[in-house]
Amino acid sequence: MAPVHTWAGLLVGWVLFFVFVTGTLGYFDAEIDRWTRPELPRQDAVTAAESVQAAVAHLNRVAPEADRWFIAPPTQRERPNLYVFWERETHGESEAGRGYALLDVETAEPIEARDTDGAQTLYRMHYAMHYMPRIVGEYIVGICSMLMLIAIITGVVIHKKIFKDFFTFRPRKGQRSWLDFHNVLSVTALPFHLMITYSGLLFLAVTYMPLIVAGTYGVGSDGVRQFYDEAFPREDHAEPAGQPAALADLGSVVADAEGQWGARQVRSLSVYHPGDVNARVEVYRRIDNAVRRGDERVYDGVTGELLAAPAEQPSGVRTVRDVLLGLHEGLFAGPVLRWLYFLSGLMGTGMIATGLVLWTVKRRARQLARVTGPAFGHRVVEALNTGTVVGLPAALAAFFWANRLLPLEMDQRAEWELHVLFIVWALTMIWAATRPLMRGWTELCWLCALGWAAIPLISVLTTDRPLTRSISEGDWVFAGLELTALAIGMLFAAAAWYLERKHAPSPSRDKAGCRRANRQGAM
Amino acid sequence: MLLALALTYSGFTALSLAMNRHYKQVFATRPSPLQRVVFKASGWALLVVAAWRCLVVFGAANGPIVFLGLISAAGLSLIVLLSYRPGWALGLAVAVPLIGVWV
Repeated sequence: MAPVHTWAGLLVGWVLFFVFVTGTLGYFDAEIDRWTRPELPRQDAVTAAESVQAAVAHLNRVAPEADRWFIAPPTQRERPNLYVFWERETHGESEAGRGYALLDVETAEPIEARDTDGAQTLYRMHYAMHYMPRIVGEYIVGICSMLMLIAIITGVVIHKKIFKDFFTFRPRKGQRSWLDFHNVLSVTALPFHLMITYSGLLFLAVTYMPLIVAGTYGVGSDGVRQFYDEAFPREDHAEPAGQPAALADLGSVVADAEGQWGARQVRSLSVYHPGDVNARVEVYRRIDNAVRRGDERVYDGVTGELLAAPAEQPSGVRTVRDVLLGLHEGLFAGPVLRWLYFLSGLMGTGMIATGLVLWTVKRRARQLARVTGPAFGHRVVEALNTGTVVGLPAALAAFFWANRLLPLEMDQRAEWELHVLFIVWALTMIWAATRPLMRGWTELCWLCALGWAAIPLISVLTTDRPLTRSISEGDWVFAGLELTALAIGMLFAAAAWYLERKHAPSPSRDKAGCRRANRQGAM
Repeated sequence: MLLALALTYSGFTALSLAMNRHYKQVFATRPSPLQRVVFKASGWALLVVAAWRCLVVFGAANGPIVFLGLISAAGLSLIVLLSYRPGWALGLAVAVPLIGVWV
């Protein structure tokens, strides 16, 4: 069991670290999105009724012929600005067949922001990677997640005193301390680690195990489509009749839904076949409950009459899937629970990091004692550890810098924000591989400290939203992100300072102490 | 919410004090058998009350998830304090629920 835990964890540890870091940031994706587009107005006081008026005015102008309109008012955390989307199915997947915009509520005109993907690409990378076809990334993450699940279960089995050592952390004892801390991070957040890994696999179960669908529906994309149609049926769906008819007043549709659910409970709307006599309006409810998912009401798009309300209970299998996927995404989480999710994600990240470090600490003394020096494989693991555990955070800080500092008119600006991230990450890897081991750790910690702590300063210099203004105006998205960045920077500075002190050549240390420090491999 | 976090933290503190190793960290002596029983019972009782608070404040669906999150947060902070500032760990366990009740 122990070797399985060790090697399953080590092999995929670096990918998992990346997945956990980007996934954990995803719990604040909407906040990061808003921060990365500082020129957009704050719309959190806008109501759903005002939003649909503006949205319909805009969509009637740009896409009266669309098969579907989608409107998301800025009343929810995940949509800081009024968002509309339209598509024409007959045009297939071509560019002309779809479009989206963020709207000004007063003028119903699109508002332009800098070319950035905000947090969405960061978030997407945690299950599909980057610079590779989506399916390849999904399989890489899938295999790593499977090994993670194995590592978690074997970890519980080989942990000898899981209850007796529940509160145990013995600092300043080298390898013992690393193991204790690895255990603390793993055990106190164990339910989260299990849930997030298992439900992560479940997200792409049909991708990873295509034969399950193929067994019933046949091989090929038609079978998959039929499976999805049956597994996720659309209520009261109607084909367009081809007869024009005026669209119902969506304001009263929203008012009806809010009358049923409560104010600010409408999450988004879809209008199918607007302008047709068979138009349908689907209204989706805000998700603020871990068990109730996908509440919706379907209205006739011409008369505005309610056609269907949620009544039917989905199957047991579907419910289990929905709840687990809902737990993974945490869309229902309010501020308190969102921060707890974030903390749990960080603990998962720390669990992986301490596991990786533990592998090297355990072997370092023996490797350093070799006449020929540490083996190549050991040096590779050391470099990958440094370059990942303190390299990736530095690269993420660079991503936030790039969002503010790349010229606004730059071609493919959004792509370049990510290129900057990966270029900096590659440089930190090279740095980690070429510097003496502990110098590499210390210097990259300083780099992280500088990179994160300077984020509020860059906002002062490049936007009209300095931290002081965000705080005085009570704009807690901007203030929260920048204060968090500052805190992360200070934590890295503390770590760097600690490492500096610990590894400074000190004349007062006796010879035995030096030998002991060397033997313990310096961490 | 603060009360639920405080109760979880205090519950864990009591449970840790029921163990020789952690009692020694705080008081530098060993607990008597009676003390151990009292700490253990009150620890579990506090955790039950904390879980109940989560259910009341956050509802039957979200409450258990919040409670699991609080376990991570309270557990981690207690363990760090016990190792570096055992006196504070104990002081907080008494002070935070009082603040929680007061707020």
